[in-house]
Formats: sequence, C-alpha cells, structure tokens
Amino acid sequence: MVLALVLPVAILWSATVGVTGSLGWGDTWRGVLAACGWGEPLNGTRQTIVELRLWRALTTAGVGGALALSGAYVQGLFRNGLAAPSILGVTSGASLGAVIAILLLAGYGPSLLLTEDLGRATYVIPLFGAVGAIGAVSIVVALGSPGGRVSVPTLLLTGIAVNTCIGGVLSLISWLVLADWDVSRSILSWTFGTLDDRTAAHALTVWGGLAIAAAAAPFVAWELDLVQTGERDARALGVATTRVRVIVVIASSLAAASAVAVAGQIAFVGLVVPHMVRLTGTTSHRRLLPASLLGGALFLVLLDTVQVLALGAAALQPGVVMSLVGGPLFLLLLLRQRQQLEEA
Amino acid sequence: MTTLTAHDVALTYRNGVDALRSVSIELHDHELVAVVGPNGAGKSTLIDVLGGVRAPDAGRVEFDGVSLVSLSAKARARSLAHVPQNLDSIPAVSVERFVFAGRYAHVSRWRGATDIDREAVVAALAAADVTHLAARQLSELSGGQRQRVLIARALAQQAPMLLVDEPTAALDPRHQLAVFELLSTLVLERGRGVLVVTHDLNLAAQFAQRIVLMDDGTIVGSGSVDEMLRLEVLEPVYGPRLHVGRVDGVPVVLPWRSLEDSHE
Repeated sequence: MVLALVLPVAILWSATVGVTGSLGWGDTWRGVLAACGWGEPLNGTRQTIVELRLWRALTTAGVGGALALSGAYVQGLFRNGLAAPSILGVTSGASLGAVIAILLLAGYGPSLLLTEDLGRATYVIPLFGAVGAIGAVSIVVALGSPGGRVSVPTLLLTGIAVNTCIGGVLSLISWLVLADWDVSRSILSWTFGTLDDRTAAHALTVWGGLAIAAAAAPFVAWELDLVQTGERDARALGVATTRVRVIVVIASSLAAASAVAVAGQIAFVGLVVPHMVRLTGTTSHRRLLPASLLGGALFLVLLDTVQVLALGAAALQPGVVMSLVGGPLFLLLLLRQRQQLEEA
Repeated sequence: MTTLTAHDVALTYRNGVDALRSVSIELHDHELVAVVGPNGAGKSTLIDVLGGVRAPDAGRVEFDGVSLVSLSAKARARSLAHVPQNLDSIPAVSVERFVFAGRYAHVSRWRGATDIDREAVVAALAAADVTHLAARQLSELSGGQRQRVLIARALAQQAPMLLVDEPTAALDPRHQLAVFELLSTLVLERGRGVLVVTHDLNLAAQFAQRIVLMDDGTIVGSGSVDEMLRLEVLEPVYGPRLHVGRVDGVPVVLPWRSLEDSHE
C-alpha cells in the first residue's frame, strides 16, 4: 500500500530532474497537468522538457515494474529464487529481434527499411524486440513441453539451451559486422539498455503489457503458494497445475518482453526486487506479486533519478547502472540470507 | 454410501516400468483399507491414480460412478483428500495457514474465505489434535507433529475419502500408534473411507478392516486381516523369512531369521 502511494511521487520527482538541469516541483506538476490536457502549458522548451522527462520516468517505472513482476512469477513457478525472466528466452529473443532490426535499418538484407526515416528506429527496434522475445519463448515452451505436458525442469533446461543457441547466433552476427563501426556500436549500446528518447508510445507499450500480466495475478497467486510444496501435492489440493503454468509463462514473458522491447537489456531487476520483497517477510504470492510490481517500478525510477542527479550530463544508461549496482546488491542479499540460514 | 472404484487401471512409467497392470479395487466410506506389499509393488502409484493426481494409461477411476477425468480439479479435491508421505519443500508458513490450504477447493476466488472455511480449519486442527500447534511454523515441528498436520490439512478438505501414503514411515512406535488411532477414529466416528498405504503389517492388522496385498504392479490378494496375514499368503510375496504369531488374538508378522539361517 505504501509503495502504491510513494510511486507517483517518485515518478514526479524523477520528472523534475534531468541532464539539462532541474525544474521546480510546481513547474513540473503544471507541465504534467498540461501534458494530460489540463491547464496551460509551460513556456517554450520547458513544456517539452517536462513531457520528455515524464515519458522517460513513466517508461522507467513500467520497465522496472514489468521486470520485477515477471521475476516474481518465474521464481514462483520454478520454485527457485534464482530464476529470472531471461530463463524463458525473453531477453535473448528480444536481443536477436533488436539486432536484426538494427541490421535491417543499416541496410543489410532487403533494403526495405533503408528508405525509411531512420528516426523510426526508436519504434522499429522495440517492435522487432517484442517479436523476438515472443518467438523465443514460444520455441522454449514448444520444445519444453513434449506432448502438451509442461514439465518445469524440462522447461528450465530448454530455456538454457535456447538461450545458448541464440547467444551463439548473436556472437556470430556481432563478429560478422565487427568492421561496420556504426552497426556494432548500435548493437552494443542496445545491450546496455536505454531509456533515452522514450515517448508516450513506449510508456503505453510497457504499461499495456504490464497491465495484462498483472491482471493474471488473481488467477495464479494462491496457486503459486500451493505449488511450493510440489506439483503433485498442489494437484491433490485441487490446483489445475497445467493451467497455472500456462498462465504464468504467458504473463511473465509478456511483462518481460514489453519491458525488454522498449528499454533493451536491464539485468537483475527481475532477480533482485522479488528477493528484496521477500526479505520483508512477504512469502504469499497474493502480496509478493503486487509488491514486486510496485517495488520494481519504484526501484528503477529512484535508481535512474539518483544517478542522473549525481552524474548530471555524464549520466549512464540504466542497464549499465543496474549491472553495476545489481550484482553487488544481489551478492549482499545472498550473503545475508546465508547468515540467516546458518543461524537457523 | 460413497464408493471409490478403480477398474482395470494400468500405468507404465516412461522408463518402461509397469507400475500398475490391470488393478481393480474398491473403497467405501466407514472402512479402513490397508494396502501392503514390498517396495516397488506400485502402492504409491495406486494412491496417485486413485486420487486423480495421475491419469492411468488404461482403465478408469470412478467416484460414486462419476469418472475422475470428468471432474474439475477442485471438484475432485472436494471428494478425495490426499495425505502425502512428505512434501517437496516445507513452506515458511504457520500450521494454521498450511492447514487452510486444504480449503483451496472450497474457497471462491472472488469472495474469499468465509466463516464456514474458518470453522472447517478449526475443526480439522482439533480432530488431528494439533490445535495447540496452530501458531507454530511448519518447519519447527517434529516428524510426528508434521504428520498430524498433514492429516489436518486433508481433513480441512472435508472430503469423504482419504488416501494416506506411508504415514508412519519416519515415526517412533508411540507416534505410529497415535497416527493409526487418529485414522481409525476418522473411520469409526466420522464415517470417512480411508485407504492407507503402509509397510507396517502389524499396524494394519490392528486397525484395518481389509488388507490389500500388492506385488509387482498387481493385487495378489485382498481380504480380512485373518485371511491375509498368513504365511501361505505372505511368503510368495515377501519371501520365506517371516514369522506369524498372535498377540491378543491379532496376527503379528515379524521378519524372522530362523536358526538354520544363522548357522549357514
């Protein structure tokens, strides 16, 4: 509940700061209202700046929320706190889609897109990313559920195998275009994740995917609690385990795919945020799922805002920040958990 | 009268092992049936198939004449409760929360738990004599306490039939007796039908109305305690080194190393 109240404030705060300097809370608030069609817009470029920052903040919140929710789903399904959305092939599939888009935009393959305005890259790359993510998950699920039976260990191993295959293709492409400086640079920077130049369309995409994924929660939350003692046990209690697995796989990959499509690779949010929520003593998925969504949104917005404030014009891409912060943070959580386990 | 029936069920595991070959069995309310047999006889698989947790490759299982396959998972769980031998992992929840999981098949997704559900949990905790443990964490309990809590969760399901898998495997003699006394009370005082898989022929002898002997995926015999616990019946399945005696008129079966064996 507290998270739900803090999040809008954090988004607004995030909109007050940017690499071009800070605006007051009042100006930002008026600018936000104007962007929604209420009241007069701010003068000159300031209105544009507020809107750009607002979309960035909203996209950031959506990406954080979607990745964390996806992580909470996947960890519940695999009964493993170390599972991450990427396990189903979402991240690698999106990367492949995005890299193909970058190649097409750069004139490789059929020159269909070459004539297009290159400004469309901000939409074409996410679109290909989304298609790639959904494609990869479909392959993992199709191969990982022989005869229609979705088996969790098989799914896990198939995910790892498909991820490895796609990783190989990506390495090959990167190697082949190594001499093409611009394309290599585009590919590399996509893998860092980006929240720059995000528009209303991006915010809507990620929040749309997130909304559908979150709507699935009431249908699987208690069920995910019951599955923790074993699928056979859950089935004996009356849980339709196959239906739960299908819903969770679709919801988590949709959330992660929409996040990765608009922002590129941002690691660790899906892994670390549900962990942090669990540390507060929340184990029931009826609270864990919404808390992860809100916590992830808040986490990424705050992280991004703080780093922009701290570094100003030298601000980093969120994927880089997340990797820098996420790794040590995760290590810290693990060490703390180990201590608790040893004391128990 | 409630009846659970399996007709000619067969199940082959993917590794080619025939766990069940053409097994037929009936369980009624007001009776405690013990399924016994050597390791690998197919007893636990039979429980899974009878409980609808695993679908047989052939044959059918019916509850009061209705095929289990045609029931929804929740409807099935309201008819048949399952007490597993153990859990894949012990969840970090209180005993009360854990027992409440037994209400899953009854609670409406949108209306949430009602007084009926809360009363069912209270009654189940009392029936299994674990009310005093309600606030404890499941992970803190001893083996005997945990076994009773598992039974309490099944009772919260309020199903007329209970399928119990090896409830005394890890318990000391006093707790073994307590668990079987609890199961027996459920049958005699509450009219439940209980099918219990066990290795303990002597507990079966004291509490079961009927003993079903399984070997190699088939039922090799079924009958009263006196009919089944005889050397002629047991030796073909368990081998020769057994001794059958009587205590208070009840058959007692012991693994017995005869004197000739010891001189070899």
